Amino acid sequence: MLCQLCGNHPASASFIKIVNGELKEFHICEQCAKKQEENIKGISNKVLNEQLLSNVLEGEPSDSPIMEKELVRDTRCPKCGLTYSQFAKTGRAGCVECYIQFADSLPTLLLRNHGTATHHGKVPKRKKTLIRDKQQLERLKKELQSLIEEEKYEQAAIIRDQIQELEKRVAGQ
Amino acid sequence: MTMSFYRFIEQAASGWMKGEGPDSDVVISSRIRVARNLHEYVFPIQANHEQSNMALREILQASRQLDFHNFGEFEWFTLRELNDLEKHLLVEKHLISPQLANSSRNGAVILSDDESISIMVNEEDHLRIQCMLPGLQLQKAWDLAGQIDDVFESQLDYAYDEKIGYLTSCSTNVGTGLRASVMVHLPALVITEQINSIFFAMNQIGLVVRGMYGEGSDAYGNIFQISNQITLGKSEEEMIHTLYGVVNQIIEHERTARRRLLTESGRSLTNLISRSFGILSFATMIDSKEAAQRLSDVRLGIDLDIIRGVSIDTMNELMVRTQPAFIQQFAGQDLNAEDRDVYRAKIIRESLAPRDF
Repeated sequence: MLCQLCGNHPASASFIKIVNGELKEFHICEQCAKKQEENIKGISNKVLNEQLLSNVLEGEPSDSPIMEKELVRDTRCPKCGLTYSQFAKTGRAGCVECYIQFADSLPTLLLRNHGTATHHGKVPKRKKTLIRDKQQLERLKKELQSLIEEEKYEQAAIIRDQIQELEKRVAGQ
Repeated sequence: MTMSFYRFIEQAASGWMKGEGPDSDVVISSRIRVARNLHEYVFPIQANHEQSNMALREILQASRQLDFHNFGEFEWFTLRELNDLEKHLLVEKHLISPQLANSSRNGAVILSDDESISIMVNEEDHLRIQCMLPGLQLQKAWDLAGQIDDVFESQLDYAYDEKIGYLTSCSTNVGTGLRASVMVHLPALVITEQINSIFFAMNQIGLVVRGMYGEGSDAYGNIFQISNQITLGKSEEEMIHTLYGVVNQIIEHERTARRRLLTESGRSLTNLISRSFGILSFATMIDSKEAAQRLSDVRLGIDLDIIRGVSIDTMNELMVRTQPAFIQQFAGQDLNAEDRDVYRAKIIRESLAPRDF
């Protein structure tokens, strides 16, 4: 495949850009990749300074460096400092917070790697307990409501204590 | 350094090298690895010294409080305590990864006394739980790794998302964090030139084939590692089942190819194997590539009952003992490439020599 930017050299790198909020992948040659990298560096700094770059350009890539004309949202993970472009380039997250910060691009990335974006495997036991506890809490609250309506206050007090106990446990988890 | 550490590096033999597992004529070992991270801490690659140290301390503290006695006695070592040779010995025994040895910050390893369980701390992920068993025993290795995972989970707050599962440093491991792999010896499929089409087919169904020392290493000595690529979207059992099914087919193909070789070209096969046995028994210099190839020939000879009096265990041990760090330890000094070839030949000669006279 030839470079999608210059069309002169064989493509050896891939490049992700945001078009209309969607991630698109382009295959580009080494020379163009270098140019893009320099542009990204320049622009990331600019983003950090200005927080926002509102320089939108849509459409197909042309032979001029795309990053100059395009909206770049290079957010930075507040917990570990990883930038979105680093995450998109390497597919590596720096911490749990990255998965929240960069959640928008996650389905695309996971689909590319795994063909799916939903986990069907093991669930940690403690999380299982948490989910069960939350469900139990809902049930007890409903029960409490109906006991109060029926003016069965003694039983309601027992349920209330159980709810408090369970709420503590859920908060602890 | 505790005395017990030296036990791990002085002997080349690990539990997985006992050639008594199921289908051990083709499958050398089965390995399960699960990747886990702690919710609170920055993942190892992005973490600074202090952050990775906190994660290490929390994991070691948890492992002291937890009850691992069902799984054997455990020892732990920080990578900082080890010199380069010691690290590479552990790599050559497959107890730690090259990445943990070379580039981890505050890395550590927790090892079971029979070396079937190795838990790496602060490699690419906070925790990498590995179980390695001889022969084709994927399910058993998964049971073991899963139980250890449960014990850790009772004490540690894992990074987990209800939708996408266990959160890992690299998005290619997200979901189950599971890598199931088997190390297979496929000489007959290589000789009969069927190997490439088989590997091609495996890639099509999402399995990866690598050389015996993992990513980036060549497939010396007809030994390959087959593992799952995808970690998301299926249960661990399904993934393991798929790999198990494919490996079973490969075993059958390999056995068929061996039988065919014996019937159609038995004389030249016996000659090839006997020559390799002769060279290994008497050579005074041998490079790693030739050694791997000849050891593969002899291993095939043992499986086909052409070579007698040498065990598969010896072959497994030699596979590890002929690697650079083990040779250097054997020699007790730094070696150049030529010295290494001399010592490699000596190690092999001594292992294969008949012990009765």
